[in-house]
Amino acid sequence: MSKEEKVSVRVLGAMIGYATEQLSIIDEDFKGKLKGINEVLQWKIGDDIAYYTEIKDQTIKANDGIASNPTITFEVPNVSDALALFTQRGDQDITQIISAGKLKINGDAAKVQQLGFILETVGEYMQGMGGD
Amino acid sequence: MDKIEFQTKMMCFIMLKSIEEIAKVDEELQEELEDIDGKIQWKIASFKGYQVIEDGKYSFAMDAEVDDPDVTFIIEKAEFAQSFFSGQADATSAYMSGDLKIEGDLQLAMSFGSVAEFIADYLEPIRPS
Repeated sequence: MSKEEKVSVRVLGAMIGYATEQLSIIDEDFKGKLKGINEVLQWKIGDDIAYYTEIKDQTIKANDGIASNPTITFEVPNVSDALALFTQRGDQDITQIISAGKLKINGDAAKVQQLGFILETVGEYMQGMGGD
Repeated sequence: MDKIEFQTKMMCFIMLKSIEEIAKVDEELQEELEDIDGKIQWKIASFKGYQVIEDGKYSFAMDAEVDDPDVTFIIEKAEFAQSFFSGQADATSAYMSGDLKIEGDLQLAMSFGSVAEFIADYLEPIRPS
């Protein structure tokens, strides 16, 4: 893993967290879907990258580090896999990524599925970003 | 906020955040930051953010204004800001054309330019193809 990959994944992970925070403020439809969700999502990437998002009262707060009370944990041991996942550039879909052991999820599977719309919405907003 | 402006805001976040992350791993950037002292305000379309470089330490915040900025960068058009942040638009010609307005310390603005040069190299893995 290069230091460029590590910096990129840190920056992109933080941006996705910030994007979800912003969506919970500006997108009424997104905010509506957050109703009743009360979760702390922990992300762990590589050896030492960690951040978490707290979803509560229809708002999202993104933080660096390890949460004291995560309800769902996502772990991506390989930084390059995390980059492929975040940039949606890999040739595998999410189910293949999980079954290959590249993404480990610890928590209630039904809840994880219910939360899928969060990253999907970020993906929709970011589509075509930076392209000309 | 439309999609273009949202994306532009995320690109602005990436720029501000990446300097923080690169400074942790790159001694050359750390040395550059040691030589700079100042507060930089960004006003882009309807959002803002700022950076503070003080005693070699770097910090930033989105959605906020810093007291007494030394230099303020203003880009009114989100579309233009997007090409600026993605490196497609050159800062000097943007300044000449008025798409990028700079108020305050031009010397500091130029020093920031040399800091920003680190970003493209480090973010190569996530550069839009």
